[in-house]
Amino acid sequence: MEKKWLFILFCCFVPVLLWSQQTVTITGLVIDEQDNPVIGATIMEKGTQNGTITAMDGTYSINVGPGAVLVITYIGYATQEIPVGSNRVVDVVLLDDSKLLEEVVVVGYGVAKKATLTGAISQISDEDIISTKSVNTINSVQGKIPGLMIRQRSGAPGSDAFLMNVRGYDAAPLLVIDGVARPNMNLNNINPNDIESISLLKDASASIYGINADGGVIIVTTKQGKTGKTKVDYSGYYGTKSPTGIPKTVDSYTLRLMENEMSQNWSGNILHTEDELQRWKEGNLPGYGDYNWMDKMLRSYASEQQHSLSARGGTDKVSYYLSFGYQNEGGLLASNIQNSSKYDFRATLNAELYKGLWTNVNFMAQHRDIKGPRLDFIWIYKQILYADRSYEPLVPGTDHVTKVEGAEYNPYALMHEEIDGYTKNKNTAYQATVDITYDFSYVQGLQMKLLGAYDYYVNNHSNLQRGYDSYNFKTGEIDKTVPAAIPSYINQYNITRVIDLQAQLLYSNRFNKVHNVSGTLVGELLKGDGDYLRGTTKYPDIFIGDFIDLGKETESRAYGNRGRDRKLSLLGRFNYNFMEKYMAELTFRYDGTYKYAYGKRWVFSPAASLGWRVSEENFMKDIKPVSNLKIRGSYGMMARDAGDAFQWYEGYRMLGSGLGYVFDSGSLTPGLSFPAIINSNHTWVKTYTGNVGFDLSLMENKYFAIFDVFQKESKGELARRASDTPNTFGGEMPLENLNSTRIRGVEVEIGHTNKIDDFSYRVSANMTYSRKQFMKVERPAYNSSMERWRDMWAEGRYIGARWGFEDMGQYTHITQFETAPLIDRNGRYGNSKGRPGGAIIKDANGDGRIDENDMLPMYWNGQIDLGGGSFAETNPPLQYGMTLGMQWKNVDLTMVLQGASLFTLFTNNWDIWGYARTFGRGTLYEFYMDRWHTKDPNADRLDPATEWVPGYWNALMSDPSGTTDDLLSSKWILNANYLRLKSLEIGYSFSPKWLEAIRSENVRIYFNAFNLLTFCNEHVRHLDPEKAEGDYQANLTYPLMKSFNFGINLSF
Amino acid sequence: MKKTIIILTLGVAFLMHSCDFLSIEPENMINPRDAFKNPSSIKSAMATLYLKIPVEDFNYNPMGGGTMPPGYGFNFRDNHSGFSTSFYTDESLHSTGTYAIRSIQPVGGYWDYEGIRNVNTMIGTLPAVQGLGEVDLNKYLSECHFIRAYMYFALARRYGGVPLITHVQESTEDLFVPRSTEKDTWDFILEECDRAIAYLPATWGGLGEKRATVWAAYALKSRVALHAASVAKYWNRAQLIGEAVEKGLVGGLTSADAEEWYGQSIEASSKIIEESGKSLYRPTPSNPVEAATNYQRIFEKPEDAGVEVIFCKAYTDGTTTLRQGHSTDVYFQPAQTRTSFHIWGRFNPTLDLVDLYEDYSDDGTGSSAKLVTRTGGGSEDEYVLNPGEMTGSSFSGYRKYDNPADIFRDKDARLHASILYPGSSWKSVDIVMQGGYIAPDGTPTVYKAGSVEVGDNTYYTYGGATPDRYSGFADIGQGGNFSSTGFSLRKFLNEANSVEGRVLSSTTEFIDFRLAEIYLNYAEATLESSHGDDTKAAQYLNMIRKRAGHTDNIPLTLGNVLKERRVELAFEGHRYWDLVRRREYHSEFDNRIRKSLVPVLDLTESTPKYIFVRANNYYDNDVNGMTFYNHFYYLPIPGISTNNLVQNPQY
Repeated sequence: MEKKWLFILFCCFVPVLLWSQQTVTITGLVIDEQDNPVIGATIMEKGTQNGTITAMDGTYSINVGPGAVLVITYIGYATQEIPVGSNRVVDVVLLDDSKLLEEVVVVGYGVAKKATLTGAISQISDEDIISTKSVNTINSVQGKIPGLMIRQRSGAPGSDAFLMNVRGYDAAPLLVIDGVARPNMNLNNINPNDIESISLLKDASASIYGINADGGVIIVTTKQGKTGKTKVDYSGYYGTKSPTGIPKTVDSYTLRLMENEMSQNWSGNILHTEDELQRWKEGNLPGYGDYNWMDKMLRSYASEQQHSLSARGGTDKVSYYLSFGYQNEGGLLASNIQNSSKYDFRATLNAELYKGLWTNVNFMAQHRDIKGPRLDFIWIYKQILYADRSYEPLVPGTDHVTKVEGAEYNPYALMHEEIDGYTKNKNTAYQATVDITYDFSYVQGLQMKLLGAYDYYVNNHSNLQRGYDSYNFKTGEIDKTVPAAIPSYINQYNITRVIDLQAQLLYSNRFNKVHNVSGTLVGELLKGDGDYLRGTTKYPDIFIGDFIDLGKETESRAYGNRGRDRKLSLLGRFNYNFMEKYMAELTFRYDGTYKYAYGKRWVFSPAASLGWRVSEENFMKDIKPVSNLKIRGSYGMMARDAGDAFQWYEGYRMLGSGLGYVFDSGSLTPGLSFPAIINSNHTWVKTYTGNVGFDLSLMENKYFAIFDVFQKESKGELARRASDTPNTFGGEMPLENLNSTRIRGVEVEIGHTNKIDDFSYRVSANMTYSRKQFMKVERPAYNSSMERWRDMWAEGRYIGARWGFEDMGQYTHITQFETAPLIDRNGRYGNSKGRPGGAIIKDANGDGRIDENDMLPMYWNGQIDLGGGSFAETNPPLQYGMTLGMQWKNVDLTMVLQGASLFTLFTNNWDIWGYARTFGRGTLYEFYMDRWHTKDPNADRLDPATEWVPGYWNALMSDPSGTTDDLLSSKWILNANYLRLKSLEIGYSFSPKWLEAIRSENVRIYFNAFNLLTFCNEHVRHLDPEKAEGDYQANLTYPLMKSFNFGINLSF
Repeated sequence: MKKTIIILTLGVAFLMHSCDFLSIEPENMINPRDAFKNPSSIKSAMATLYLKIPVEDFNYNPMGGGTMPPGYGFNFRDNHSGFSTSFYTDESLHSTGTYAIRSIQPVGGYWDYEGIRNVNTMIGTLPAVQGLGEVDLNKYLSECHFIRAYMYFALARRYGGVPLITHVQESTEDLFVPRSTEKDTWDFILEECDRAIAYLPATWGGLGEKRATVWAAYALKSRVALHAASVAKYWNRAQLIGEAVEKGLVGGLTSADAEEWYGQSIEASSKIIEESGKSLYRPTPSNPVEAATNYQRIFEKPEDAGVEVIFCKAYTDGTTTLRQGHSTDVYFQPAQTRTSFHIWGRFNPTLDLVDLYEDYSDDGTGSSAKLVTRTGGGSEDEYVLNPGEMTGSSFSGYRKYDNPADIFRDKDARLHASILYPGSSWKSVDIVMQGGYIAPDGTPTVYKAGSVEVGDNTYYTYGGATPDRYSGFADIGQGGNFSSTGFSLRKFLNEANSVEGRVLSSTTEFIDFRLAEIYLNYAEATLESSHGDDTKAAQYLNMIRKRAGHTDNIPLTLGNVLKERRVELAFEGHRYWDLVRRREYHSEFDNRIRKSLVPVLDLTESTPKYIFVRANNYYDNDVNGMTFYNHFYYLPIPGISTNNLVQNPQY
């Protein structure tokens, strides 16, 4: 035994002994492009374990064998290999890695040199992303990638509510992570520290992804292992956030005065007597106090933090990347019931198994816990908003929940888990990707790659409702008009499994030094399935705990469902360029899906693009300022597997929803639904995307501009045939590929980078404008040209017209109503309710009456037609972003500005009034203090001699119907253009002297802020123009957050 | 190179495999080939068809239709506050006044050609089912014809002549089928009834009467033929003009048609009466109290009254996901016995109907006995417009009762069993309906909240201190949880068992056809035509009365039969269609203001007494009365812009 060990030990020492006999000493200096010494760079002798690192002054010394090759690596810089030859001094200038990255761009199923790209592709690197850190990855990206339009809709902890699309395309962009389409993952949930780069394919270049890539493709590449000694990074921050806009409400006494005023404005009656008012003024009696629900039920600040620890290193043969991330956010509700935490883990391994045979293994695991109140925030906030401030949440001296007048429920109860219950979501995701790449030694430039990915997602949603009694605030007795709910519990699982297998053949070569040829051929198989299981129960007798099986058996129900997905694809790409001057690319896909009938399953989608680098031409060589000019164009088709599966299949289903017939007392015979009208022609929706653009760089890349014009036509969108079936047919026509739309737009990006001594800066701005037009709309014939004109979804129309009344100012005197156009009030016309301050509405058709015939298409709205009469919000048609980065010595600063234009916010006037319009709803927004009102509160409103005090808002009325104030005019449809300082980050990097002392490579501390400043119409400010949307929700969804964070980055 | 070839071969193999990989069958559908291989899947398909039968039951919302999907008003289980066609008639009102509208715009559309398509699919599919014996096949086909007859009946009585589509249309054929004439439509429906009668069984064994039997088919025919005959006979009462009339799409019926159809109705009725073995439930009570108990029982537990029931619809508890219940006990419960749900007290019978009931002292005349509210023979035809504005002096001439129930004492048992009135006992609670009081000083407080202390007692406007102690008149014009007429519904409500306070929690069965209707159909058709046997008709009429505790016989007159029909079949959904088919709607509802009975507590006496004020109902008064125009007898044909059909007159 011992001999064996000794032998092994001896063998290990042999190379060492050999080396020690024949070495030479190499010394040198490693500097960066700015001539700064690079400290801690790794110098390795290639093919050995022999290595060293540079010292404080960037110098190094290493003993190597003859004919050695030095490998110099340093994070953030390109790896260099330098043969020693006969030199004894080797100085090295390291080149910034990010510059190299810009040179290479991740495209579909591969990478391409940026110089020879022919498609509209934008890419940002890890540094661009983490230059502004946020708990939401999408926030870190917003405004930075031209063409990627983003609107944040909620600031709720753990919320993924972002409207995100590419250039205004309807379909959501396809998310590809490490070469595999992963639509089940949300970009927002990827740990930003793990991202190496994000690439956005905006035109026909996306067609290589074919299926469902018509909304563009976002390719996320995660960090891989890197040759060199292990480098450990820690990045973390802690911060607080507060709402960007929350309106204030008036106190309970003021509200009563206002209610009296509103009532007198309307009918002349007084609602509250002087005695009553006096009680509110004094505020001593129970039920007459003033409790500011808004202040008390919402916290001013919530906390957020994120920590990430990663290690990266490796050798020529094996390298790895490991990371662990943690993130936590709190919520606004005072009970602190809202919380979101996320853990993620990623491990990547690259290894050469045999010569020329490489493998890459990438594993990601993530767990998210999101907890909140039983009801969505919107329902609680609504209660907070209109809870009468005269009441308090608990009956004094008890823990009894008050029946709050004005509100439907007591918001205090709703936000306490021990009173009302909770909602919990536990999301787990696993993504495993393994690939094997083989370099064919006997055919130069030929590679084969086999890739397999398995993803597993679990969502566990649970919801507990407890019952509680409500008590009368004044008497302390139980209020029986609000019966306690029976405790109930829902627990559901949603599991999704996806397998993706790819076989790729890659070829790249150069002939005669001028003909660059490359090609990719891929076969891909996708198999997905999902299971859904939901259990509900009730606890009418006794509630012990939130377990399904503790509920009453007869009240327990189970539901289930299953989903499947199968796709097959064959795709290829062929690139040719002549001296990197003239470029051509052809791609094709041949895709099949299980959804459609035989013969309709497969679709062929070709695309082509061309590029010309004008700057490489001889005649341009003399034009010095132009360092790069490339003109490019692309056109291609993509397909989307829209619609429900099996529309071609004639079959009976269960009616569901407990529908059936009781043939035998007490027992339901479930019904079978009869076959729908089948549609054997149901097939892929095809889109045709064209793009023309140029890239221009001036003054040695100090200035650059990118310009694109694009068009996307979508043909065969699903619609029901409307025109030619009578309603005696008895069947609903199936969704057929009937409609078409067109989106056109422009995209511009300009930038400038420079360095003056110690001061370097870069600034870039981008803008995207796009609009959608209806080209073919299936619908019954119009009855009149008027009807056609009024149809917002008519053929030829651009999306986004909103009809409304034109506001022309305010009436200032009661006598003006004698000659004013008459208002329609349920068919009766009159102005008896008109008051000074009321809106002057344009009588568009001049008939002396204001009714719906006077509405004009005069506002923008953000809606897309989902078909079947349902609509969804969309991004504003014009969005812009601007990034500003500066570095001066050790200080760096990044600012991102983001904005949008050409849209309006519709705030239902009931919402905006704060619900005080129906009496007993206890709030009115404070900003209504700036309103028209009579100087003497009790003055006769109709008396022309009455003195009015003007204000921005019209005189409030207890019932606005039959007045111009009730109409959809610009009082309610507000211009929502905004520009906001989305993020700001200031950092300080410690100087090398300090770092040496703590054996660290890099230490940077920073401060950042999100949503710090917003420029917009003052009347939408409290709504937050970025967030607000939709009727009835305008002001009630979770507010966006202004956040302030302090963080640190450490590298060892 | 070899390897490349191997790889390419594998790639091709991989693609070849693709054809199978994508060919998966849906897991949640049954292929039509397999769908009807066993009787239980036929039963499940039948369940769907039965669900689409337009029975105007507890879940029928006559306000549905319009722009709603076809057949929407039927099986309308979504959150509402109680619907009934009764609210359009002189039987009752909805407590919110929802149905009290200036003109009785017929909004209750039915255009369920989807249901008809499904029946046609079934009729087309069944003969091809392998292994289905001829007996079973014919039975199922007859069942389909019953359902299709029912559906076309629902169309014909709303629209007149309609397109008759009797096969599954392919989207390639000419889909535009014009309207048939009203006559052809009625004939077609009656033929469908005959096809149903041909092979339907007399019973489905344990299934009872919830599945169509031959007797159900006869009953349908009896009702259809009576409707068609009445329209033919009384068309002239409300004549219409227009293209649809000229083409016979509505009207165009002759007295010969009337004669023929009355005959068919009588024939069908006779078959049931003489051959089905059905009889009235407990036909000979010993006294009116027992009669009332029996009568209430029929509707509270129809399964116990199976001897009389020909076809009924059953329910299961719909408070869970099985949404096959109804909400009668929730929405129509009086305030004092309300469930925990926030809506109640919605069904308010009118004084018009209450006055119609006989008392037991009429001795063979069979005439209605109006409630006596005034002294000294004062007029019972005077109604106060707004009781809230009555002064002290306007309360003279009223009869004073010690107990509110006294005024109803001798009335017909069916009043006690169908209607909750002031002072009636319901679920061991005395129902309080009070519109106000007259203070000892003679000042009245009516229709507005108030209280007065007399001695140690406090008296309140509505008869109690809190809303759970009274059932009427509070919140008139604002709320809807208290009766606005002084009456509330008792028929159909479950008195014995309390029902959970959630919508769709009631499972009381709805009787669609029962023998009493067939008796009355027979009697009416006999009087209206040359067919039938007068002696039998008189006998049937008096059998119904005797079941209600009457001991005398009344003569067979049209007035007696129609009055009996309103009383016996009250709230069962007949009144609306009786007014339509007999063309009496426009004359009955010409600025019609339905009436309320407002009890007022008189505290000027030494012991408090009740007086009863006849008053205009608040809601009808508010809209100045309800009017039914002639063209309302037919509903507008929906979708004429695309279906190319001729529209009905005056739409």
